[in-house]
Amino acid sequence: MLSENLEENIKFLKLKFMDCFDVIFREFTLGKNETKCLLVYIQEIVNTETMNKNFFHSLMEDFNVYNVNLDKKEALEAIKNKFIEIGNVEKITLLEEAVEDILDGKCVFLISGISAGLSLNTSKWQHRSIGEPISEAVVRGPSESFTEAISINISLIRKRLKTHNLKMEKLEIGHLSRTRVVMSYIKGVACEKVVNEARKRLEKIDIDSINDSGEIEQFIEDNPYSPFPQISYTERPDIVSACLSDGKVEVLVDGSPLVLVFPAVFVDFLSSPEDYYVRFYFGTFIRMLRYIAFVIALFLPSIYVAMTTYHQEMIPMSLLTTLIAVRAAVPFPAVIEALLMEFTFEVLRKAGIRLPKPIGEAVSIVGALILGELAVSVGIVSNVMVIIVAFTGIASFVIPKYNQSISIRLLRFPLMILAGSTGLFGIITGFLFLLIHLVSLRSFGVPYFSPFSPLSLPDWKDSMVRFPIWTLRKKPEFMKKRSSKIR
Amino acid sequence: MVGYEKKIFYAVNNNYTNLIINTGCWGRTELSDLGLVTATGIDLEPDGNIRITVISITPTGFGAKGEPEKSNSWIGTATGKTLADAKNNLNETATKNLAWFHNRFIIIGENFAKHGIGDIIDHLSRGRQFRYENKVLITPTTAYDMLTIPADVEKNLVLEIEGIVNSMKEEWSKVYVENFKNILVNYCEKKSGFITGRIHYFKNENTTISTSRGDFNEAGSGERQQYVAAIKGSGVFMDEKLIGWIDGDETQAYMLIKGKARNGVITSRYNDGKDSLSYVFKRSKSKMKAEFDGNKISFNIDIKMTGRIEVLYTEQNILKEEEINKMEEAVSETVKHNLEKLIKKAQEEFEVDFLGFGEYIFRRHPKRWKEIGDRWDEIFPYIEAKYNAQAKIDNSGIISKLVIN
Repeated sequence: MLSENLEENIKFLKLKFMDCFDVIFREFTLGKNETKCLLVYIQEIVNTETMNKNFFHSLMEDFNVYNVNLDKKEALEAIKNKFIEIGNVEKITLLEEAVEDILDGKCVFLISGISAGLSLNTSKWQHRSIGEPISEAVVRGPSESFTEAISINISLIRKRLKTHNLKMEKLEIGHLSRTRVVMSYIKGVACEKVVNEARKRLEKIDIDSINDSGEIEQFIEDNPYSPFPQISYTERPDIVSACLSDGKVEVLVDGSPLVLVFPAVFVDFLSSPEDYYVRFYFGTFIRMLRYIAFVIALFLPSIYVAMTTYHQEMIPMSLLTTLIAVRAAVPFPAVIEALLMEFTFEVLRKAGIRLPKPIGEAVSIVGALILGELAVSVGIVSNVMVIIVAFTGIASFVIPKYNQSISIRLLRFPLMILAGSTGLFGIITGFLFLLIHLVSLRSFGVPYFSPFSPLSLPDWKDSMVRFPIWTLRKKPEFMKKRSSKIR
Repeated sequence: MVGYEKKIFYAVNNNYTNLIINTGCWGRTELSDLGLVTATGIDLEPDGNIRITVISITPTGFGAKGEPEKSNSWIGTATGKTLADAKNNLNETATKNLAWFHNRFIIIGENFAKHGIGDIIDHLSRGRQFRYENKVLITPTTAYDMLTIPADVEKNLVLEIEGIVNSMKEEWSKVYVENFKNILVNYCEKKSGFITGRIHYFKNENTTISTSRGDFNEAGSGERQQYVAAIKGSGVFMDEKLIGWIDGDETQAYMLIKGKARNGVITSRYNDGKDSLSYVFKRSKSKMKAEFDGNKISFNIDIKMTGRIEVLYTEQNILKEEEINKMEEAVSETVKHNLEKLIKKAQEEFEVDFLGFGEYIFRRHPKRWKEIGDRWDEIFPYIEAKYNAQAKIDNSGIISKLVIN
């Protein structure tokens, strides 16, 4: 509780903010009786201009004109109503509240003799300005992207959906970070069950700090042990608005430019906004291209290993003689060669990401050209294997969502080992495992493999193909039919 | 995992474990250990053993510029009491795992063919590695001799033979190379014969020999260096045994009777033997009909062809209808002549029904077959075979008046 005695309040707050140089205690007097007042704030996160102009200036210049009895309890209301030219002003009665508000970038105004205070919203957080999407760049389509500041992100969404049904529910997650997390959905479009379930899951998160939406994702996904992501993400406001009107729920996390989107099904990870912005022939073409690339990225090295070690009869004669000639000098079995090459490729890829851009390019040239060329000419790997690995790597870049493409990269390795141990039987077994898993997976109660299984034919219009835009007016059937329980 | 998922998970898991633990073979072979057998020759040795000869290809890696080096062809041979035995004995000298899945030709020596090829058909059809598309060729010498002659133009003899077979497939029904599957089918049917290509080599007297010949060393040294492979005529089989040879024209006649000839060239004399004429048929139809008159059996074979004139040296105006009729007549006569030669050969020389007359009765007149089936080999030489051929020219094959006029 705030005390009437200002000195006590100051003592408490100073104790709380011991060793924090950035917390400012500004003491001043008001009125004829020279009543002691206090303003506490953190300089670095407060808009000092607003504070000076709309608080100090108005209060000190105009105060003496009016006759305000500062001894009365109503004085606080009077000041709030007449003198402070700031939009968001709240009355606080608890010291803990004061501490929290100070940390949120607000100024806390206390008056001697009154056991309440005002918290003035003057916060000003440092953030970068709106940039272009980096991981989801498109040739055609809007090119603004979310930033780390949640307020900007909300404004970008509000800009695109002007309806009062667009709800923004605020939560605070993290004992230390008290990160603002906003769950957004369109009431009446999004399924109530999903919204309630999401709220429940978000409220249950018990952690000290949240630094990115990726952490939230791992807390609320249905099957955390699955290699496949069940929650999609995006940095593009246009996708968010499209997903919201499809009945999906978004979670915005302060400090993360990536917005979580769910329920997300398998086909969502293989579609890109560009599919809708170009004409439908090409939209369909790139969709199919992506599905083929998905299969190549997952299976190509293991099929190569299986065919060359177990099923040589499946390879045409002329190709087989070339392959034999190519592999003649290679000392390792095909499966070891494949694992070695894939491992090298992953190392190169990781190295390229970490390094600054100019050096990164040099590394990729050294890696791809020189290392590959030399490995072939020395005879450690065959050049066919280099082709296979390179093509697989390129194919995995076609998958638009990063979290799906890394899951594919991971799954490639067990498949290669299966192919190396039992050939095509192994690949088929691995494929069946994956299929069973995919079909049984759920994302917030929506079957992950819909619309293929369970079958909902109307939604095939927007899966492996994209039908003309006027046939896609309804929201997906599988988003409505949510027969299965949310686990 | 929910219940049903668990069940399926365990089912698949069980199967996979079973696959690993309980299966006997594990077919892991690295590519570099493979020797690709592309042609297999089979002979009967005088002592009754079976000799197998293979041409196996082993690519040896890359040259300095990264281009594949010329692959090594390994010609291996071994004998054994059975074919399987001989195949195993090959491993005594083979440096690679011999794999037969890309085998293209089975070349059978005359001795073995006369002895009967039933054994090898049986053996090869059981194996996993032999494809049914294998072409079967018969050679009047031994398969070993045949497979050790040098290649002329191609890198090895197999590619050479393949080139010959492919170039003959179209437009020329004078050679017919049967594949393994059809031979297997015929073998199972017992009462029907079949023909397949006859491969031989001849000595090339000319000096126009391909340059790649020099690369081929020992096997083709000396006089053999000049040998060239050729496929000409056919070997005739009846009940797994080789019974004789027929030439190209007779092969064409056989194909026409069987209705297998799709394209073909027939060359005949025209205008009272003064001009020669080449006729290409595009379609042919064959009709067989049996007539029974008491004990007398007669067959009617009716062949109809449509086609065009390919080559013609004449001064007649060939656009006139009567000239066209004359030409049709001439071609029909040639075909009839070939048919006569073939049927005579079957009835008088071989005295074996490889033309499928017996099969026809067996299918169309099963009651008759029951009466005469057992004695068919005796009856066949005395049946009366009538044949008729009708060639039609449906277009002249010229686009304007002849230049030489």
